[in-house]
Amino acid sequence: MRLRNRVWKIGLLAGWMWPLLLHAQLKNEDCWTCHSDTTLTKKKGDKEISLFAPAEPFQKSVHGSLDCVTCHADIREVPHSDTLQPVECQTCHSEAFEQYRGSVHGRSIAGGSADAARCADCHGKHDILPVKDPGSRVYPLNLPRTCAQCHGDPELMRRHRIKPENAYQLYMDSIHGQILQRSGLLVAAVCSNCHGSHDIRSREEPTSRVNPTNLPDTCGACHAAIAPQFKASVHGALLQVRRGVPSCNDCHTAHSISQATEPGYQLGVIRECGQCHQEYLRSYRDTYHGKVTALGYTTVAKCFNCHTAHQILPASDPRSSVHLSNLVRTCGECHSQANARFVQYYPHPRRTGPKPHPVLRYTYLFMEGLLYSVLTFFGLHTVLWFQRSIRERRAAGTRDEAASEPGSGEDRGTS
Amino acid sequence: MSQNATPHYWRFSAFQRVLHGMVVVSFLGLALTGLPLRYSYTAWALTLSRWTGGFQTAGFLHRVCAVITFLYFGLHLAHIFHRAFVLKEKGLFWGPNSMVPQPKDIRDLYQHVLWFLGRGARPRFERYAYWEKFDYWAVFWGVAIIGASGLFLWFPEPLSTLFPGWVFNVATIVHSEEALLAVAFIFTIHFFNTHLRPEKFPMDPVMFTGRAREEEFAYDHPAEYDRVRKSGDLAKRLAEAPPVWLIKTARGLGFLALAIGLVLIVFIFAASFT
Repeated sequence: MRLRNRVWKIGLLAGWMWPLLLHAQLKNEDCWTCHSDTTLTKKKGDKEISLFAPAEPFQKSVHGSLDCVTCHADIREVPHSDTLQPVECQTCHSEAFEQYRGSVHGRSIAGGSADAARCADCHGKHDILPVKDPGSRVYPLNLPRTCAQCHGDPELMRRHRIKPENAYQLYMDSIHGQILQRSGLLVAAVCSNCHGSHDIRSREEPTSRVNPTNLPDTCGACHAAIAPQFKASVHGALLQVRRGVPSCNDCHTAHSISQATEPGYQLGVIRECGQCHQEYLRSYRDTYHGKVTALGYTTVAKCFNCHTAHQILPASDPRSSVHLSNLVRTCGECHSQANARFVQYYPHPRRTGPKPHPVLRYTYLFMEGLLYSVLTFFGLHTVLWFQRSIRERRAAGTRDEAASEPGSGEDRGTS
Repeated sequence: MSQNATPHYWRFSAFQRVLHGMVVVSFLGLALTGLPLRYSYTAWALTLSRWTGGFQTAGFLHRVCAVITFLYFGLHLAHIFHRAFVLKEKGLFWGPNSMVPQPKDIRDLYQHVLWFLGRGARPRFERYAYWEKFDYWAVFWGVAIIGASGLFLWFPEPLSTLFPGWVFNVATIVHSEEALLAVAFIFTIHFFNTHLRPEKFPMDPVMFTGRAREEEFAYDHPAEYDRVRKSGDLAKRLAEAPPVWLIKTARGLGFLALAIGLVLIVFIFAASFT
């Protein structure tokens, strides 16, 4: 009874483990006998593919303790068949693969695209290192270059209609890219901070991290103090219920984000606000503030100096920086002597257009009337005078009196 | 030496010429530093703004020119006051020598237009023809209006203790529109009436040299010429021909002013019709 039981157990174990036992016959060293040869290649279509897969990088990799055949599971003997099944990372990394399958890359592959990124394109093959290892392809300092294999190739991007075509170049010039590259700081946002890693989705998708409605949270992951301000603003509230409402990227752009203190950025944001608030931009340009900024100087008030950058609220809201009760303080940031009368200034004066301020309208009409009547009267006067002078001089010329013509100019100053 | 062959007569005193020089310099300075703001949406305004040292330097120069303007305005008022109430000069506020518009000026304008149309003789102008008086009062009004509105824009914070904020909006409109009128008027109408019309082309240096040749005097201001001659005072106005250096300086500065003005007016037209 006991013996029979033991035989049964051994048989069961052996029966279950036989493939492992069979594999165990193939050691990694067996593979490296051939795959340490740098010249080992195979033909795949027109392409010559290197089959060089030496021991050292693999042994140092995160998978170094595994057998080659753990991943290359269809190899049972050497030499093996020329056509092998692709390595299936999902055997172990099922969660990451599930995310990947729903991503823009995974779905493109499923849709038959040959160019979309697969696991190995980002992580490498035999030399995969842990994400936290500075040598890893997906280590933050290295990630942009890894994504740039495709997203820095304008030709490839054009072929697949992916915009922007030069995301990598734009990113590297951005404040994030500069901090990463020049300062070498790990706190700088890299591709995955905004787009995710395995679950990258198109910005059109509601679940995408870079969908406008989700951007405040995505950017807020680092810019923690700004996100709640923005969410409380008129833009933040409307963003969840209406299309076309600005989110972070509308002012800051996506990849070419510059430092908010840059003059070029500050002046550009004025035009950005004016995309929707056209009348307010137009009336702003009629003020000293608007004219000085139009000339390219940032010293005077720009939209965000009065309205704040992120916590923009309508003037009717008592929390708003431009609510009547807060104006003296808001204007006072530049105009130290601002007072209750001072803030009766119209920072958006309407002299024409819909609902003009009466005093400005009539002042403007009077001044324009004066301008045009004076110029018209004297313009006409000048034209008539000119033709008469010409005629007089012609008549004088025919009478051969040109020499005695007063003020003929030529003979003066030549004494 | 044709200059010395014909007698010259004084028209403007040294004081008046210096004052006019201040007008020219400050006016051009104000236009060059002010127009970039008004036309801040044009490419030339950006360039001009850079050339004038950026908006803060331009703003400083604009205020320097404003001070020159207030200075000549004050000097002129003091001069008039002195002539009228200290020297008790007659005919300053009324009469043929006065800058104050006279009934004759209305008749002269009417007669001048008839002459333009070939329907009458050229009017016999007095010391100051009606368009010269308009030039004078235009500057007088302009300095008062642009100067006052400019002071509001210069000192908004102190003045806001006396005036509500929207007054500064009004001041902005008035300053800008009146300045455009001044610039457009001076650089077209004044330039033509005084310098560019065929009789004077390319410029009349009398405001810079202070004196005109006899035939010019007689042609430009025949009523005054006759009046002075009959009263026997012509000899008192007799002047030496202007020295060559003065003519050359007058021409140089005059052409420079003309050129700056004409370039600016081209820019303004370009901005207005695009």
